[in-house]
Amino acid sequence: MAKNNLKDSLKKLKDIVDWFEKQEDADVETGLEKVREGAALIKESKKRLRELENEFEKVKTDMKEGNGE
Amino acid sequence: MDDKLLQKLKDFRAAAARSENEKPYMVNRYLNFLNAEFKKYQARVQGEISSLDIRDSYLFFTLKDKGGGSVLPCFMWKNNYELCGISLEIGIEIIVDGFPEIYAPSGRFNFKVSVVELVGEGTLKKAYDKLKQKLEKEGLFSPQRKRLIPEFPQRIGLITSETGAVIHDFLNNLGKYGFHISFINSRVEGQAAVRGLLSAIESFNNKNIDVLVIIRGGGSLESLQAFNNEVLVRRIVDFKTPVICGIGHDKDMPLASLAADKAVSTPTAVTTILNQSWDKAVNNIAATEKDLVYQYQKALNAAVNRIELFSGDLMRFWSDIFQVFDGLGHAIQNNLAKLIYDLKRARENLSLFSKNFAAYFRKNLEDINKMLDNIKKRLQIFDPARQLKLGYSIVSVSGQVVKTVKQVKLGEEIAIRVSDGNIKSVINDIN
Repeated sequence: MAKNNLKDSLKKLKDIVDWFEKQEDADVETGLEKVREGAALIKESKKRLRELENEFEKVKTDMKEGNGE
Repeated sequence: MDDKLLQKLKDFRAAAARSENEKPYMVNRYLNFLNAEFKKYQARVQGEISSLDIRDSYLFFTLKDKGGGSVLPCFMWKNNYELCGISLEIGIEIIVDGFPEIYAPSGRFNFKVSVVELVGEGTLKKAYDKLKQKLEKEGLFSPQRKRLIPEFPQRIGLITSETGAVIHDFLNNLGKYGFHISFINSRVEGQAAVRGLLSAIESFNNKNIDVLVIIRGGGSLESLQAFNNEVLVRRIVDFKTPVICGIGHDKDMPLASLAADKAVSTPTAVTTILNQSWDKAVNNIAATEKDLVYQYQKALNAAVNRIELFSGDLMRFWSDIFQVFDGLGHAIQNNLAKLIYDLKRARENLSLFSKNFAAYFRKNLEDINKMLDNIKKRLQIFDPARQLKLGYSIVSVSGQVVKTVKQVKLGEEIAIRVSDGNIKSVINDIN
């Protein structure tokens, strides 16, 4: 589902940013891989957000009446 | 014949014709017919309770006008009464909602009540405070039992009235985040709304939703009665997913709102809650995008700095090596210069020495020559030949130069050397 994917993507993006913040001497090549992965996640997430449309559904109910005498 | 009389005659003839052609009702059927007709006469009736009889599953009470003699016998099922969440007492003024009905077994006429509500703000406030206190004691409004609204909610259960601006405000302000809104239309006005609200909540209990939203516009305590209903409050507390109430109110917050996991007073504010995590995600993505570029730029700069530092170190290292080489070069150069100088000096010394030596040697040679000349002269002086020429001779016997008479004997042969030859002689006298 879009919901889970977006949530997962956001978590992965956060992990990537955290990885950079934890590195004292970041490995540039690994960093480049992370940036590429992050860019792909951002692109995908933006696309998903653009595609989302709301749906409206009216539910019919059989309202229960009180007991009859 | 006047017109009135003519009409009466027509009616009589019609009734006579009906009685001939139509089959009569059985009692039960007729009562059923009446009761079906009575349902068309649903009404709200206000009055004071003059008698009250509460049984196990139903209750009877009588309503009368204040100061008037008219009475209306009322019947109500107990479950409907309990649903209303109020306590009836003789003397209080109420409004009942129902329709007339004849109870077939006894033929008794009743007003069949489905909803009963209190009348007057004072009475309502008193009931509100009492119920609030009770539910508060039970911890139903405690912040500890409030559930968090899930992140990225998508399946929204919505309960409100389909008429009015509230639902439009809600839908217009909901972000386009792929929400699936399942809507159940319900009355929201007055005590009569309780049944619809409860039914809607029950329907959503069987539906897969992330959050339940109950909204309505603002109103007085009287119009908000349904949201101060005990049964409704408990259903909200027990609902399987978090509940957001967006119910407008004046002074007293509806008990339903107090019990909800999140309560605001406008439909727009509800959409803000639902949009929140999505809005944040959109912002986060934009921020992460910037952050990622910044972080990588930082990593690159750090790498460049490291390379610069390393190359600086390398340069210093090489510089140190070159300095050593330079020092050695200088030392070699100095030593070489010194060697050259020394050699030059040696050569100069040698040259000087050889010059001196030659002079010395020449001088010595001259001295030696002189000395040799002198020696020669002296030798010439002492040359025996010269002596011989001068008349001296050398006598020798048996090859030995005779220097004393002791060396010779009489009769012995001697050799006498003179300047131009040798003479042999014999000794005949020794003195």
